[in-house]
Amino acid sequence: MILVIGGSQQGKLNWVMQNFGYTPEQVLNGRDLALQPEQSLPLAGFKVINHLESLLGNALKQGWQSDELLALQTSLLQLPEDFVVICNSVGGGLVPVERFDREWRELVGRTCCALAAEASQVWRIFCGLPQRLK
Amino acid sequence: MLALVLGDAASGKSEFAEKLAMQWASERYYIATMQVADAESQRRIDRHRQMRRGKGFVTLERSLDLAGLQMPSIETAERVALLECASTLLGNELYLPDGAAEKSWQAILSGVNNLQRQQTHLVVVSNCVFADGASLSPEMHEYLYQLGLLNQHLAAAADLVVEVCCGLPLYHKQSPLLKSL
Repeated sequence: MILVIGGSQQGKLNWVMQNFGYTPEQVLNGRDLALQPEQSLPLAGFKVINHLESLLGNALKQGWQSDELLALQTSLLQLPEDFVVICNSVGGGLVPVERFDREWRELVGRTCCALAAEASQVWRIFCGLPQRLK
Repeated sequence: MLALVLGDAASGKSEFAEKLAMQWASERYYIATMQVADAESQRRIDRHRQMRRGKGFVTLERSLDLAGLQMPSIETAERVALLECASTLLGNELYLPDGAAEKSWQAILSGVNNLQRQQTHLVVVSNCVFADGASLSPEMHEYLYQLGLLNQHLAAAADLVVEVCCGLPLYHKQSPLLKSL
């Protein structure tokens, strides 16, 4: 699995599609997914998960517990070699006022660390420009 | 040459941008974009003025319509202009009554092209504000969307893209012509 991170509005998805030769049809948008805890990721036909931060946020909103979130993380760690996970960096602001936002950005940050540790490549996109971190 | 200097708030990006501009030419213009709205903005402006003192910059004030800015012609062999900053300019274009509203980022991009045509070197300062974990209002989202597009287009056109962290430069893009930096 390949991890691509960066702030919002940095051109991450465009870069991934150009660099790895994937098409919009191969992109699963985490914003559109509100999975129940027992559901597995509907990955057939996809090569990219975009907006991991929203996928995780939606899971939290659906009431996923920590063991269920851990199982989700494990399934992400087992993605194929050529699969790309894109995630917005959300830990760069002040501590959010809302408890949900605090839990969410903690979950997103920790998940990205876990994915980065196992990923074959990690990229950070800044202003549309790629920087390889691993 | 076109340089894009980015950084978080209070990261030292202005001081870095000034140093860069001073290396490039002795004829120096500073395009200031902030409107005086209150005591706080006046303090920020004063701080930046103090920082520039003695560095040989001629200051031009321009808070809107950069594309319409006509500067005096170049007096020496080379001239540098420092635009500070694209993110303030975007706020002006988005929220001031005479601004370009939903076409703000395009207006600023053509403004930068206009500035580039009028000098040898241009340094543009912009902000990195894209990693906040709090829920965003539609207005905040619109601002970030336009600033992201603007930054990406500027970065694509630039010979040099530098992110400044605590006053230290991280080079994201450096044209071969700039090896001597």
